[in-house]
Amino acid sequence: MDHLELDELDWQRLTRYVSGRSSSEERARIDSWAATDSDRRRFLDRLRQLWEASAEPSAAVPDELVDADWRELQRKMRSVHPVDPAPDRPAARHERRHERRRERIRPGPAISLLVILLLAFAGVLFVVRNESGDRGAALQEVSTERGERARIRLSDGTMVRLNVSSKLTLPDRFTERRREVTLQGQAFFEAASDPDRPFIVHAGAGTVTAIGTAFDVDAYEPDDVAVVVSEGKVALQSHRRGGKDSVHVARGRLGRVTGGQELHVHTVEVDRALAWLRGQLSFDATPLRRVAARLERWYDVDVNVIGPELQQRRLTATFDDESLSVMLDVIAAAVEAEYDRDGRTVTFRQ
Amino acid sequence: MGAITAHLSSGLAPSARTWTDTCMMTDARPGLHQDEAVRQVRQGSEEAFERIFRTHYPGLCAFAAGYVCRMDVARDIVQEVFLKIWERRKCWRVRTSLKAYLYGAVRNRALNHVQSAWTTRTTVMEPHSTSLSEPRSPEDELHYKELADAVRRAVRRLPERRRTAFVLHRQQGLSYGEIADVMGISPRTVEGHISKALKHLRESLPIVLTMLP
Repeated sequence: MDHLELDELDWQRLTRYVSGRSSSEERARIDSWAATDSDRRRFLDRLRQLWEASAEPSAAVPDELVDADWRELQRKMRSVHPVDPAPDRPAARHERRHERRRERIRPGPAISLLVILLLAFAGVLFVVRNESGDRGAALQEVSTERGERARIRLSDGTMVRLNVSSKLTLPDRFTERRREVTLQGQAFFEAASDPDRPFIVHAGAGTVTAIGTAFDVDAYEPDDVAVVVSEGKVALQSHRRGGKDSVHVARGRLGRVTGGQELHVHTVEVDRALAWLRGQLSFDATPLRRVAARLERWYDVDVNVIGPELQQRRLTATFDDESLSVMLDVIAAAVEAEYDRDGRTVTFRQ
Repeated sequence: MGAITAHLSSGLAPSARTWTDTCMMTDARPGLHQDEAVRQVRQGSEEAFERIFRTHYPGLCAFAAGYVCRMDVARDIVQEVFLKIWERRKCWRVRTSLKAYLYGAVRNRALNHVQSAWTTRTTVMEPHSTSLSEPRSPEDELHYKELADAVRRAVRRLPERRRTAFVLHRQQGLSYGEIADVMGISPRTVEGHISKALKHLRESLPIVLTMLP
């Protein structure tokens, strides 16, 4: 059937033909092409059927639902305040776009934290304003519960993806000199480029300074902070040595503060380290004790590992978006352990 | 799992940032190709806004469902788009057609959703069958339904850009020019996407096609 040997241009002609967009000349040419061969005729007929069938609407929203959804929207509409347009607009198009970008993310009273979408097993995202923060500036907080992640766009264009059970604290406004945030837990930052204002993340025992780059900070354990750089370069500083100790971490490298002050840098498989961004759980010779902590945050469960020897057994695996029970079965088999589960409590034993 | 992973990865198009840029698909010059309804909404008319909502909501939901595979999620996405417009109504300007604007905004939102839907499990939604454009014999009808279902399934597996162009044209009735505006590409590229989609569909449906009389 497909001995017709059609190239891309032929397909464009055929598409025009079945959609009735061909010129009369092109149409006549295709008709005569089909007329000489029954296979071609059948092929053309079927293509036309396919084209026609593809217009079938896929799913309908019933009228009652449209009514209900409109009423729901109306309720929400009445509780939002309209955003005012900017007064002046430059004439040149690219400048205007630029201007609009600024206008859109104009801080207003609070850094306009646009929490784009939050998807969770359950729970809510908290944006808390704390008027009496330190450095004289008001602070804002975004936090996620276990099993919950958030994407946050900051006023400077920086994009933050906050992993489960994490908290990001930031000032009400960034200053002209620096953009500083504080992280507990884990987040991936795509810092907007601004050479005059470094982007600084305070995380446990470490401080990460970036200028327009993309990096992940894991500070679930405040004394053991890891930075993985997927673009550009950052400086990692350990806090507790008077701020003198600092290393550069380049793309594809992992920088780590251990024991609250020791700095190490080594090469890392970035894809695996950032698997959480794709909704995957990835372990690389991770001791079961740590695997348990990650499962707790990921699935909002309590995981106990009985026995020091078992706690040290290591797991290397990458899981797609699996259910907890699948995950537990695989892990138990891999580390040769048994587990039992009682509601939200899981116990691994020998 | 394979289909779901593929679906999610097709959402990883380079438009992660496009949602907040929705306001940029507008033109500052007033009076240029402005829809009367849009003007009324800008002045705060809820009735005009409701008319726009009722006209486009079902189509936009069906379109969004192509990304997220769940009608309830799709409805949320479309409502969020409308709420955002209402919130920013004072600076709402539609450079192209209203339809192109709305579909563009929903696409951006849906892509963002797909990208951030780390923890949601997508389930494949089975569509309702709807009335057909012309009467057919019962047997033809059956074949036709089978074909339409098979086509729908195959459409869901198309790469995102091809699928978007194809669905907007075939199911939502957008012109090539409007689709070009939605996707930020040229009408010629739209034509290319649609013909590649047709070829792709044709190649992925040989069995169903030969079943037909």
